[in-house]
Amino acid sequence: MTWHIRKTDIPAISLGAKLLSCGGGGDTKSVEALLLSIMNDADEIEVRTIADIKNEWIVSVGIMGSTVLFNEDIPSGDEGHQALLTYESVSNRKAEALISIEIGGVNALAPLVIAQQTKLPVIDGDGMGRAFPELYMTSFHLNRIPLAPLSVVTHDHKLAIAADNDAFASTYQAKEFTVRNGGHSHTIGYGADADQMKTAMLPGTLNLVYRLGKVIKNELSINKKLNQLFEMFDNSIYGLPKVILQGVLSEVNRWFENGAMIGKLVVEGRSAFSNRKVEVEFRNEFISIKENGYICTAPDLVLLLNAQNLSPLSVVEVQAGQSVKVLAISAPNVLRTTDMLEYVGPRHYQLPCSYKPFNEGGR
Amino acid sequence: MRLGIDVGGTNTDAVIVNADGKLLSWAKQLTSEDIVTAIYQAADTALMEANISPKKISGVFLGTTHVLNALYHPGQLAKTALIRIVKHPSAIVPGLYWPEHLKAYIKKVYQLRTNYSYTGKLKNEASLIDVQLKEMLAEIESEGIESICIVGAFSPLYESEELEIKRRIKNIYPDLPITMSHEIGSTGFLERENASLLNAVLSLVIREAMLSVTEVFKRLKLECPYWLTQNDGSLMEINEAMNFPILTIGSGVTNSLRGAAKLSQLDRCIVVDVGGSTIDIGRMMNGQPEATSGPSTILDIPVNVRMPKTESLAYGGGSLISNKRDVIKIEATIASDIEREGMAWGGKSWTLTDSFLKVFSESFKDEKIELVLLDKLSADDCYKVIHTVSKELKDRIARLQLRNEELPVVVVGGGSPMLVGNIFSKYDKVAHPAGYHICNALGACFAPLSAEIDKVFWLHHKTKEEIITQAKEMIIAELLSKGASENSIRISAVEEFPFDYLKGEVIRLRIKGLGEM
Repeated sequence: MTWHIRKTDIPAISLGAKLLSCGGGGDTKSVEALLLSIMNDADEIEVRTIADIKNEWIVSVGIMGSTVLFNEDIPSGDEGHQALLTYESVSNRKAEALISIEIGGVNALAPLVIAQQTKLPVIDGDGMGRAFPELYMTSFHLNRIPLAPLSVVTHDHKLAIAADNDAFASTYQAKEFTVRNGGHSHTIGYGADADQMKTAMLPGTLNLVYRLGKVIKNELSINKKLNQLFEMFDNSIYGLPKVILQGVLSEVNRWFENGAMIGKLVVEGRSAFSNRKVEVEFRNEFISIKENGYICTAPDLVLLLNAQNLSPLSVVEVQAGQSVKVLAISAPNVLRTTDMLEYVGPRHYQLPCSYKPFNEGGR
Repeated sequence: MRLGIDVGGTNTDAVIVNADGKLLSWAKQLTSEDIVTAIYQAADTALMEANISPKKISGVFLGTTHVLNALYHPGQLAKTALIRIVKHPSAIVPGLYWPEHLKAYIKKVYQLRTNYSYTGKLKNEASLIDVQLKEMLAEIESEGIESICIVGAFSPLYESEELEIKRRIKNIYPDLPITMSHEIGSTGFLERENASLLNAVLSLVIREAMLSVTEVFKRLKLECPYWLTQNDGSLMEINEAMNFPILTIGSGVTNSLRGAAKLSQLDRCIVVDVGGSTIDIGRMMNGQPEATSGPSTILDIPVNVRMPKTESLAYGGGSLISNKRDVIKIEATIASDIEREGMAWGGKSWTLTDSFLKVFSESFKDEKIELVLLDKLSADDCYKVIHTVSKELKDRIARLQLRNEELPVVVVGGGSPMLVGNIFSKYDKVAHPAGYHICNALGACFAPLSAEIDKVFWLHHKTKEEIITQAKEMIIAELLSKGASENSIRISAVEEFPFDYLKGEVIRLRIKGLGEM
């Protein structure tokens, strides 16, 4: 069923998107501020669920690059629209609907800006189901939707990557161009018709982040909130979550390697979890939980939540002394297929283990 | 000898301590509307009681919630013009998360084009800025602008455009207060803009307050430096503080933390300050109050300046209690003078303090209290109030406790006697030091000098260690020039912040030094 996003829904979508980002996915605050600035109270963005996608040409929208630079270099608001125009001229096709490339983090909001400006509808779904660092790590790519033609737009420059480039070459060019021109960019690619997109996308994720965000913002007791979050995941393409541990962050180590933020943290259990501790590793996103060996790794979701209000914490925000809940959630099935695991499994993140699906959700 | 003054919402306290830290005298006044009348009276009384000449005072140390309160009850705020220096004008509206009553003070927004990117200066289009500036300078007067706020993208790396624009405005309007964002916060444009704008709208309030305070001190014949404590608990000279109100709005709370530690002689403790309108809870670690290091908020507005890391319960001894259909609630409103309005004092308002007095009649020793006046209150209802306070307070304290060490709890503030023997049991490690009622004024006297560098550096041909060494030397030099004794200076923090750069070597460093006078 088609539904609509209004200005007042934006903060909840932003928060829910941060939850699914597993600690990465960029920072939602600039684009949230942009949407709150350009939307009027009466404006509505149309969202189509998988059931009501029409026979239309759908393109995916994303923002990539350095979070610190993107937060400093505030957007004019026109970048996404420029990326759309550039895409349309290189592909020779008119975009008829927009989809998020990545529901975890800022990219859940990126299509909404263009939708508000062009009145194009947004499709309820995305290509990652969480956050991943590279443009090719999508279910679109897995299902053979070509990444190029791809447009890449920075503050002052535009790049159009033609259809004859494969996903890896396009990703590489887009990154190179972004680094040379200010460190962040807006991109549009993965153009597909309705049938292709229906098979390739992770459906319903935009609606899920909206509902998750609303629950976290609610003034309910932690237990009630947690119950509602669990219920929502249970009725979704994700598995039932599990609170692996509640405790205090005792150690955080962060460093940089090849442009990625890498590190690990230790959470020491409290109350019901005392005398236990887990280590969580991250590489742009939280990628594993260890307690005498790996108990959950990417692509399954690892989340750190503020224990007092359940708001999600990013790899940049975690600090020693915070009290947190560590959650694991099994990823949607499409991310756990053999082909997809090659891009998003433990090996990709250089973890010394093979992928063991996390299936033990429950309270 | 030092004179410490705390201007709270209810009381203004003054204390005099000698060089060894011994309390010589103290005085208390109800805070006056203009703040300075009460300051004069309290300071004058304290000086008389100690029987010392004002010439012997080596420094005046002030803490106040006055500037913070101005954000809640605007009136003297400054009509501000925001100048953004950005790549392209942004559609993002400034003051987005601000309450309406504050947002109204952002009168004009100008978006100038920056010549910088994160890698340095791009091109020289000075002429463009010239044209825009001309138009703006003309409007400052016609629009009645009282304060300017300049926020440049990348100014934590390159401050020259902010400086240049300030210089041009100063040439024409030498007295207009101007806030430059690179002096307020680090990376994160929108949070820095919020913090800088708040600073700009507060620039008249603090100017007026500090000028009249200075005048009062002169009238008291105090010929010594005057200091204000800032959010991180260290000192800033009043002349400098006038330009940085946003960095001093937490001065009341940090003084209470330091005072509690000093009075109890515990340099690691959890402090509970029970005031008339709030109960503040914070932690002292190794003699310093903790401050936030990440993003924080002021009135729910996201900012990136350091704030005291405290939690507040939104009620205190003067909060009114209501009973609507058997639901007992602690209201947001407070009795302005509990000794007139509180039931135990013969007034008509049922306050939090009355609830404690009903159940624990020994809570307060005040001869003006008549317990019979509380007869019509239900003891059960009062228990409910006490239970709520107790539970919420203990929750907050538990969160601050360390895993390997049980920190003692120091309870201070005018309302502290009602909590001590009642909420806490004798098995808890709780201290209630003598002098709890003048804790903030005392704490101000012991605040250290500080110097801080928080900047983004390109390494270029230097190593990180070389840059850190240079920055440390700058900090030591600054502390010496502020009057710190050489052997008391220590670098208290060197923090590196992750910067997800894509090319080149760039780091954000925050280095802080402390010194005693």
